[in-house]
Amino acid sequence: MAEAKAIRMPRRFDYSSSGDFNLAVTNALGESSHIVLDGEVLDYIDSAGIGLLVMAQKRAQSQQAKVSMINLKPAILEILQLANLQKIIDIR
Amino acid sequence: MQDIQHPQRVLIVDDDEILNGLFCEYLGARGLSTLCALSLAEAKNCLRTAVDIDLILLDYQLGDGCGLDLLTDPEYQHLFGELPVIMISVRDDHEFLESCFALGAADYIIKPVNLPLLALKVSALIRNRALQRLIRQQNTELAGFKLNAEREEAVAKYTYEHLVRQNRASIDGVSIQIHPSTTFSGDIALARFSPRGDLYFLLADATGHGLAAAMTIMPVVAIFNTMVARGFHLETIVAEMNRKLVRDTPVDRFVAALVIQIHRERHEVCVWNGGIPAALWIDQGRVLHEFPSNHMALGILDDPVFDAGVSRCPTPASGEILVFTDGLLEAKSPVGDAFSLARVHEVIAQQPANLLQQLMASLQAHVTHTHYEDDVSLCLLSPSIIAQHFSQRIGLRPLDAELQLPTAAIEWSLRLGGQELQQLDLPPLCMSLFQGLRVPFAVREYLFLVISEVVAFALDQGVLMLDSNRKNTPAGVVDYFTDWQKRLALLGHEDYLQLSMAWQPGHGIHKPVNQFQVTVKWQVSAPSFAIFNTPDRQQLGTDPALLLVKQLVDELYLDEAQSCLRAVMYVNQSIPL
Repeated sequence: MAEAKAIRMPRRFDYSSSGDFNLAVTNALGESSHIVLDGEVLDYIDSAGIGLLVMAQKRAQSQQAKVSMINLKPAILEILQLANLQKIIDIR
Repeated sequence: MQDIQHPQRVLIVDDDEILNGLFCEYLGARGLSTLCALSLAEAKNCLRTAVDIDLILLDYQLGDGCGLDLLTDPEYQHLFGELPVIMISVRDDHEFLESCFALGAADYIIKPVNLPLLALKVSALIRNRALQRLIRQQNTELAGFKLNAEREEAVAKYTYEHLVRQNRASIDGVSIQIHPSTTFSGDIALARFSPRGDLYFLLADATGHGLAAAMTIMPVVAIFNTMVARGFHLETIVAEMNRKLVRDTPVDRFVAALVIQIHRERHEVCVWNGGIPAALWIDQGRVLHEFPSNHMALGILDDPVFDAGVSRCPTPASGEILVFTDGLLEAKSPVGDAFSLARVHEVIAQQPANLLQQLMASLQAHVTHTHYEDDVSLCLLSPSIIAQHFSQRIGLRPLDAELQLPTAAIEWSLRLGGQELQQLDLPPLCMSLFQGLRVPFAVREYLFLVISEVVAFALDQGVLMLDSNRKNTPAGVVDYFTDWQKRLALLGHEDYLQLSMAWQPGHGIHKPVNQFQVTVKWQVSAPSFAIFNTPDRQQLGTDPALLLVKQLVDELYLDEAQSCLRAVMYVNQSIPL
């Protein structure tokens, strides 16, 4: 499969992001076995947003693909680490 | 723009037949359908009988009256709120124009009529009317959605309040404060005792809000209550909660949870934390220990990879355990500054008389209002006070109450050896049996406690040959349970424990009293005996672990040579023949 496919995360990542995000993940999985979520502008995530990430990871896993996250702000990193998301998603 | 299903139709009211025809022809050439009325009476007739008129072109001066009379006619007045009217007249004075608009005209055109201008005005007003129709339709739909959403929220609120009511029993030493961000909180906090006297505490924070959160919280609470009541250990409870959520809830739904078991007998605190901020053990203004989130929330990882492992430490002799949800830490001030753990530590260091109250006061001062973006939940557990609560409970003897008891003799026996002793927890099995026999709950709890103590004695002091006196110091407690785990892992298939229970109802004059017996026998194989036996080991009969059992039962027999312990309880209620 092709090289890693990047998806730029929005500034605010919650349930309202689900439509666009899920579509982006679907498209990315069709092109690559490695999705990289770029959190450069991400400055808000809630439990629904974490749920979307979990769902994306499970979809990727079912297609032998993987998900990574990069460029995360410290506050966001802290939230993801509280949820121990690093156990299922490669957080750099 | 909404598609108009029918041709846009204009009613032209003018007594000048030539002018009327001209308007019809001109507007008709621009795709409009027209209807002509040469008098006020004809206009009224058209309004009564025709359908789907989108606009009226109304001449002021008509043969049988004034155009304005139509606007003020009670029979038709109600139409003109939605049906636009363009007045046509030679008059252009302000007073006249004002009166036309005041009576409901939407626009005005002066004779001689500029036909292109007329066509533009007609199109604009018809378009506007279509938009207004669309807005009204959407408003109606939105109102319906809003009503449904409110109904769902009411259901969710009822569900949560029902769960809270079911679990409202207050326990000395457990303080809980829940502050919802909306109508009700998506967080839930529960505490209850197991039959063995261990305190179990659950703080759960489900994804989302309202009904969606309620749907995931309910199974967690149900499992927690059921399994604590049966005396299951923390790891088993957490694993079952996770299994249920993974199986029965959507993939993007999970429950962050912190579950604590304060072991009464082992003087140990066990914590499983998946996604909740670290629980803090605090004493005299200092944080002595933290229980961080080491696991993913419940409902994410499948069984094979889910980790139910707990963190353990000896129960603090003093101090308290503070737990809170992330809503507290993430609450923002007006300038966007989060409350954060640093401020929590500041409040702890102040050693306020009421820590939870002071934390909330500090939070409110920080956010400057009482509305929170996320639910805020705070809880404080005081193990020393909780222990006192249990001590009061063991004085109760529910066996003497008016009860529905089995009327026939019952015997039950199970022998477990080797590593199965590690894997299978006997007391909860007994609880299932009692439940099946419909033994009343209070009696089940009591019997569970007796069985737990008897089995624990047989295993710890009988099979594993541990000395309870070692638990007199905190260091000794740690050594005791370290050895307990090591020895358990060394058990061979010839080491066993046999639990028997017998219920003998009393009948007649000679045997009026009902009797419940618990007997446990054990065997230690020669190899295990050689490892476990120590020169300073006390005689079983003097072991402190027997003292609690003696308090609970009527008769207690220990046959050290036969490796057998029997406990007898009498129920002072004779059953009629």
